[in-house]
Amino acid sequence: MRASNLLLAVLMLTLLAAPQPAFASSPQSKNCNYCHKARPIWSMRAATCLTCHGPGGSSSLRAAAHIQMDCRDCHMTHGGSINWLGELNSKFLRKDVDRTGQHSDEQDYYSRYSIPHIKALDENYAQVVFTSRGTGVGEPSLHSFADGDQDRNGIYDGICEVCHLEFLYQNEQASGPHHIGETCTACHLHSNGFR
Amino acid sequence: MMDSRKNYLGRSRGTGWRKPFFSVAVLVAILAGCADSKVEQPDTPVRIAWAQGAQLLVSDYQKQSVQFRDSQTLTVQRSLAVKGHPLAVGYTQGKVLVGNETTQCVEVYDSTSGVMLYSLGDGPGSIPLPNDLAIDEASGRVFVTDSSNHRVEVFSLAGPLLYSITDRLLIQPTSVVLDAAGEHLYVGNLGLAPSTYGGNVLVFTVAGQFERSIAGDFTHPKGVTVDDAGHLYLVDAILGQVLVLDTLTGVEITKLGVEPPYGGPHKMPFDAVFDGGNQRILVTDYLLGKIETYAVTGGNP
Repeated sequence: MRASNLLLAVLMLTLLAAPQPAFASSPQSKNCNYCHKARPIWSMRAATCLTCHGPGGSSSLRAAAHIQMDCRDCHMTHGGSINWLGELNSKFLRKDVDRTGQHSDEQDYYSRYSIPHIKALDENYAQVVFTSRGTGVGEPSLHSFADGDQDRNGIYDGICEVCHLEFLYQNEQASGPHHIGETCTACHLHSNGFR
Repeated sequence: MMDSRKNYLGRSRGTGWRKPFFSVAVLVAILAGCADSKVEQPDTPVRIAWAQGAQLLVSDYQKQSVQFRDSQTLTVQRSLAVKGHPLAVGYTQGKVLVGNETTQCVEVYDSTSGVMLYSLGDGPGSIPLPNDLAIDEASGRVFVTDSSNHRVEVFSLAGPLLYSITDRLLIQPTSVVLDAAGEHLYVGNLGLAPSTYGGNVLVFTVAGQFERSIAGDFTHPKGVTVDDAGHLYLVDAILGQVLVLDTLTGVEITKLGVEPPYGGPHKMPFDAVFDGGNQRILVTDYLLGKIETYAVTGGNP
């Protein structure tokens, strides 16, 4: 076999083996206009997702927005993201989450609904690693919703940790961390906005 | 002579009642503070229909209840608890009909006691997505959109299934309204097949015969209603607006509401009902958590 052909074969295998963001497997993915006909790409918003994932929607995966956030604050729309550790995040989660800025009514919401335990945010963007749904569903605690920096790289990069860091760990001295490594959505249902 | 600063028991005057009073006051304040600290569940209205008199029926998806609201003030007067997430809602003859997404059927409740009386058809599990319903009181029929099974099912108000309405164009019926004459059904329909991605409104006779299709600058008709002047109001959840169409020609007359700007409040209008007495359209918004009103002056939107 010629060396160039061998090199090409190796290159192809490498590309195919690398984790690739997967496009949505729903029937809608076969027709872009199902979502994009109504409005331009830049103005897509939560209602687009909730027509299928909200009340009366066709998807069996039910979701409700978390406080005043938009679905795209945490999720990519066409597939997952490669996180900072080089892995593909599950459930189409972004590789980083904007914790400030666009939620200008955040404080009003918190004061109205008295939501506690949100720490003062130091960074605009927080890295997110999500490759496991946690021990509650028999999956590893590592890189789940909130694993308490189990990999000891100094970064709390669970999707719930990036905002709720204080609540998860402030009681560590007294009652212990709050279900670290477990499946947060077992109690805080996505279909109920994680309440 | 008794010290004026002490009572007959020798205890100091003026302080005896204050201590327990302030203690109780502090306790009440603490309890009130605790009550305020509970996370309030915002309203999540989805379907809307007329009840008796000047009352509206609104299904609240996350609160799992059907609310009786005053049609003028839109305030909640009382609620009927539902075991599950309510979608479709309707009222007739002292009964409240609820399309329950969780139990996957249409349940019939006594409107006064809130007791569930029976389910339509085969009961739980028979209608996976009972998205909307329309009631023909004259004939005692209930039309229910069965979104998952691509059909509109017609039940007797007493419960038995009478017949189903199907058509090759009926892909994902989401909403249904009966015209004032009780002769035609307008069914909001989401397209799904690759060749028909756009939504439309399909018009059937009440017997189930397909008559025509209305298409336009919309893709996701979540709610439909008609007025008494030949107008069809179509709530498009993604556009965030209500389109007003001519019921005969399907031509778009106008749009109600302003498309929310990028970065603006999260908005998802869901369903609408016509208020002939006040010449207005009432529109539920699932994300805003309220009912919006639009004036229809002299029969013209």
